[in-house]
Amino acid sequence: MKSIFSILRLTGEDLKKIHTFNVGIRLLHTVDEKIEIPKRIQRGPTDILRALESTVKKDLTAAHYKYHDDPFLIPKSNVGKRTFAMAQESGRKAAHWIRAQHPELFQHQEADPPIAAYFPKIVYSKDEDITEDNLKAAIKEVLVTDAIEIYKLCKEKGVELSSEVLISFLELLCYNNGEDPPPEEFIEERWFRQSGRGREKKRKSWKDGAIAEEIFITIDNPGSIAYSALIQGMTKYYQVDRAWQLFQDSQEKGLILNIEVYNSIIRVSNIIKENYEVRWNFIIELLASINKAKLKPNLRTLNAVLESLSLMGISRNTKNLTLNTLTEFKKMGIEPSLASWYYVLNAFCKERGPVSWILEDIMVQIENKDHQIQDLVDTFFFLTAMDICRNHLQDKELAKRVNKLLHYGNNYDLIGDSYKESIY
Amino acid sequence: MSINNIKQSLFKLSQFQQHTKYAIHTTAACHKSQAGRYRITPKKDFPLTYEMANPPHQIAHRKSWNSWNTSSTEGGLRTSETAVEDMFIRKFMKGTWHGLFMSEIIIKRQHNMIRIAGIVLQSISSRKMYFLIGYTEELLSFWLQCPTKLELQTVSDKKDVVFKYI
Repeated sequence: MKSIFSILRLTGEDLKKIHTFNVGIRLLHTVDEKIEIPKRIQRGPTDILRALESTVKKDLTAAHYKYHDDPFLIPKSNVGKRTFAMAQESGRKAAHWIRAQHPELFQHQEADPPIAAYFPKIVYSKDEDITEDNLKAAIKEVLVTDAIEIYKLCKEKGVELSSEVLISFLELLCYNNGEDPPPEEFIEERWFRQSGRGREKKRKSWKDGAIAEEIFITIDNPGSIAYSALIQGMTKYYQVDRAWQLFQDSQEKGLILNIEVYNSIIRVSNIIKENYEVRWNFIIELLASINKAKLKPNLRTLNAVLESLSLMGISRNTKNLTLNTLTEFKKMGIEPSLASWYYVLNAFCKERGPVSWILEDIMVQIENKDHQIQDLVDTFFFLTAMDICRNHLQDKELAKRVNKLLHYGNNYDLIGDSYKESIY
Repeated sequence: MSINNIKQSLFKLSQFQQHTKYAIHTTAACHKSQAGRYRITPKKDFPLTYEMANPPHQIAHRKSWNSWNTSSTEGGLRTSETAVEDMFIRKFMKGTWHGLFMSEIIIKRQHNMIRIAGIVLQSISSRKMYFLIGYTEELLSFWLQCPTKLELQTVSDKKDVVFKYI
């Protein structure tokens, strides 16, 4: 045998191969082949588009696609970006103005079915019939000024309004402080206007004695929903004293408010109570009363607590409390969002305090993840993180990691607005 | 009368009939030798763009259409409306972008979207141009009740679009 192999010049390796080949043939004979058809995967209407989209990456060197792709029309600086976008927006506003001036010219119907957005706005006058449905429609479309107008007309004409409509009207007014929000179609204006929002001084902007409070009075025997709406509106626009009063009022009446009310009160606790110690006890009390009301705290509760903690100076105690809060909430199954981390960064990395490397620990937690927006403040995270890398830690590697996270998946949506983008 | 004579008279009759047939035009005169062509000037200093330099029979060979839509295909919708709207858009653009368009105004329709393309002179600042873009897009959208977009390119000099002088 050996001699034959040596004649054929087969090595040990070849022999092994021959052996496995033989075994394979034998297996083929014994196992009868079965073709398994995979189960059908249900796909959404846009899945193929998404798959195609995932193959194309964003061109980071190009200008945003809202600008014309032409050397003359591409902005060359941040100022240019702003002016061009705003110029286009003001052109659009001019078109809106012309349509508002000559509504009779735009009454033709090209599109079938008709598209409401292309028609001029409806103007409510005293001569027409006003019903509750008009008010409902205006509330649904978030037309605050229109809704107020209709409400006044209803009152003049003595149209009866049901309490449900009144409450939803109150909620609308409290959310927007009785003003029209910047219209959604002018996104540029929003994008460029919100710049200063987070940084501007928290001052009272709630309209005292305005129509919201009037409606609150007209609702006889206001329930917890009405109270919740008004308190949240007041805390949002920093009418803190009245909000606290109303809160105590409702507690005396034994109403169970929703969790968001507690959150908003915690958020403004630094205005209600001056001293750090007193403030922390106050928060603890509030958390206890949440427990008593058998409500479940949520992510925004965590963020509210962290926010007030981040405003409590640089004592060691604050840092410990921050970490304790995080673990406590984690035990309850509430995962911190980017906003929470933003507050943690604020609490740990103060301008005059000692250098803290907490950002590294945070990065370990959040790296390589696609983050969804869960809180308005989420958009502040990247700006602050980069700022800390630059000014607080002066660490290039960490900055690169933060940048990588920003460009991971859809995280770039969390950059916030133009102002934050340009600073970043 | 011989058969020959009858044959001849029949032939004449048919010739006569042919003449009467062609005496009256029922379709528009095409003027193929004139339409879409430019006459040479004595000094040969009349500027032509590439689009102007090519006569209509070069469409789809050397140049392409100015209006892109499917209204003239079989079963196409809104034939007359499309033509009138295109005229409206051209007049609107000429008036709003006064003296700025250096090329023909190309109108492309896809689904419910209208895209208007052309070459614009850089004689106004880019900021003003963005204002006009926003205004035109929005107002034409209101008027035509479908999304309208501009796709512009700019040239710094009028001579940039000149193909030849005749």
